[in-house]
Amino acid sequence: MLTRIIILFVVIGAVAAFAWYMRWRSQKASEQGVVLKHFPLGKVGVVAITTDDCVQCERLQKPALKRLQAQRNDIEVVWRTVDQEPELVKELGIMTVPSTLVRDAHGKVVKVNLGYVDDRVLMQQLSIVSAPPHCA
Amino acid sequence: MTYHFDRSALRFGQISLIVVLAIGFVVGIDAFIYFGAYMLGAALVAPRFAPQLLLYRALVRRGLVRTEIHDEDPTPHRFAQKMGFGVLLVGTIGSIIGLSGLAWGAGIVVMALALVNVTTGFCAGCFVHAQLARLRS
Repeated sequence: MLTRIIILFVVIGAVAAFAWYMRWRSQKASEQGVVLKHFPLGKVGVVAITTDDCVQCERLQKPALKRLQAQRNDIEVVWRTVDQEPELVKELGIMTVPSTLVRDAHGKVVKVNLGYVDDRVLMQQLSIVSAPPHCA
Repeated sequence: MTYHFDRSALRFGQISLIVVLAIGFVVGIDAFIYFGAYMLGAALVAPRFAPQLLLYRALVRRGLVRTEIHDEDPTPHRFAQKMGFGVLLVGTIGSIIGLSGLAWGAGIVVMALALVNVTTGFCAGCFVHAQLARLRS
């Protein structure tokens, strides 16, 4: 039984380490200050990263982003596939889909979410990103 | 189409499954894998008979757990449940034919992925899709 308890703790430890790693990757990507130059500037927005066959993107992330836009019509939501943005995906260390990038009006990525995130969390993240006066 | 999906029920079901499989693994009784497979199977085809949902509803009625209803398509979650059920079914068959290692290997995989999902919201199937897309590009 002791062996099994040790194995169980190893599994739980591995999962905890993975959860920590995901948060760390997300935090690190958010702090990189990557600027999305080829996206329209002047509006805060969300860039959603997907793949052609991502069911969770279509069934969960897309409705969440629609709800977000219904609450805030001043934001711009752009969908890009991993195939369309290989350099960005590599630069930000995006390892799963859906992933969402919250950007300010200058195109700077201020938050990277790896995995599905609902509209309430995105609203909180967008609330700290304010458009500059000349863009408002 | 509008869906009403209770995320709290999903989380409760995942935690229940983790607890059942963890206890079963520690005490070394294969019947816990059969029970885990039954939990997921019942949640998919006959939620009225799923023990974790019966317990959840009882706790909600007593005000001990709160529901968390969202307008959300349950398809991805049901797909994940089907995957979990499939793996536990393999474990059950493994146990019946005397392959206890296979049975608990399957049990540990399901438990670990459920734990990852509960703690991070990470979708293993989506991760595989993303990695394949990265390799293609």
